[in-house]
Amino acid sequence: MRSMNAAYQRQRRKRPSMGGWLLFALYFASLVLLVFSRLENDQIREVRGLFTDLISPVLHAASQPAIYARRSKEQLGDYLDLFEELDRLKEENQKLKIWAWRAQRMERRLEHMNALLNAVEETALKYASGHVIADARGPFAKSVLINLGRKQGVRNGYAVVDGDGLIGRVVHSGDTASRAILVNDLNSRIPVVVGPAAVRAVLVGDNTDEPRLEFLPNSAAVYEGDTVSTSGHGGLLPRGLQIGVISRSGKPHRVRTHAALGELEYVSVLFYDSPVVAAQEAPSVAPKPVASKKPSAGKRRKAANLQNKHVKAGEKVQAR
Amino acid sequence: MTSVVLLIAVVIAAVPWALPESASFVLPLLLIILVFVLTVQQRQELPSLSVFAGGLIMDILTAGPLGYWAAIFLLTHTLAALYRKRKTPREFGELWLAFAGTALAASVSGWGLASLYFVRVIDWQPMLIASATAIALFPLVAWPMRRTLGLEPATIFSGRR
Repeated sequence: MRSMNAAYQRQRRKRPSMGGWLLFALYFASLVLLVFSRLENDQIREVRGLFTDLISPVLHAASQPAIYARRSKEQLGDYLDLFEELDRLKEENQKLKIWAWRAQRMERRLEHMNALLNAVEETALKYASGHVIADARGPFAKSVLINLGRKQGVRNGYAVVDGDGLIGRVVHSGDTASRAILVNDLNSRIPVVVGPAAVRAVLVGDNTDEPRLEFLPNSAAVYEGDTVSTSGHGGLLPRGLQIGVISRSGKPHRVRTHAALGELEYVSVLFYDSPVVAAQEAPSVAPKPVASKKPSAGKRRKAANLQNKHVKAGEKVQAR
Repeated sequence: MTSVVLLIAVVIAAVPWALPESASFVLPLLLIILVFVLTVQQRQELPSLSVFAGGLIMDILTAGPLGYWAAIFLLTHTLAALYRKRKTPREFGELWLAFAGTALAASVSGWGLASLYFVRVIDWQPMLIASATAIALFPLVAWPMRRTLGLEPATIFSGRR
């Protein structure tokens, strides 16, 4: 055995050094990249987006065992608490029946009121659902990578929700994957309303589990358990999206999110095109390019005749 | 081969495993076990360039600034290479101790670098939890590889021969 160790030592001594210069250059490159990242260099952002798009199919495939493992763990827990869960669901079902009845009554009243006021109905939000393929952990960001991109109509600024409420918003949309920063990320700032009095504030992330409320008026009466939802101010996010409840009142007030930000699986991106988003980006689905070839004189005449026919048909319909 | 193993591990570490928020550093820092073991092992050298690339990919996947995990992985690689150059570990415990020192140095540097980046002192607890977890889980990776690491079989702390 001693001779084996001696052989290893000889073998190691024969090896070339670890390449001092190369190592120095790599350390230097790391520091340079860190500085450029701090300065928020556009090229670095582009490269990052490009690479994320490239690696998203690999991450999508790699996330499947993790999702399967999580589901198996949840199912095992469900089996263990089967009878308890059944009782809870029965109770919840009773409550929901009462709520369904109340909701139907409210809906009828709302329809009646709208008809009386001749109010314009709010258009329903469109959305796309996908799942989290990577989550960013570390001191710098709290974000997730979603398997939805520009091809599915996702654009920067769109709100991301799960079954429990708002979780964040899209900050980079690639072709097939998008990165969304979570509400507890250091760079997240969301205008919100708090409690039944709808006190305005800003929900600020600081990389802790519970984001804090800032810019609350001094006289504001907010208490533990008060609900926090988006206010829609600034026009970036739709109003009324549930975020969480105040978990700790005092300075600062902390908000416990309804969504378990560390255990996100399926999420939906809300296609809310505010004027702010529209100004930031061109439409996600570009119109098909028109052929640049100039049509012949005959074709132009045909097209003009067809247009005249359409106009005349339209006039006839109007006259009727 | 060592580079491919590191690349696969980086991708696995980025996948959502639903860990609690307090363990936010654990997965990236677990990779330093692999960097350490692959650097110390005898069969195939782990190129510095692969370590740097692995760190960069980790930076991209964790949405952090480019160069952060690259620098930490390089530091681990350098310390492990220095250890390999100076000493031949005979016992597993000795190697474990060396890794503990490396993991602590990497986590302290990581904390310092992050604090410098934000120009404020960041929370040190997640980093401490992560390095403690990495030290505790080291045998899971290193023990099956003890032959490749040049350790004598079935020795943890057998005393001096």
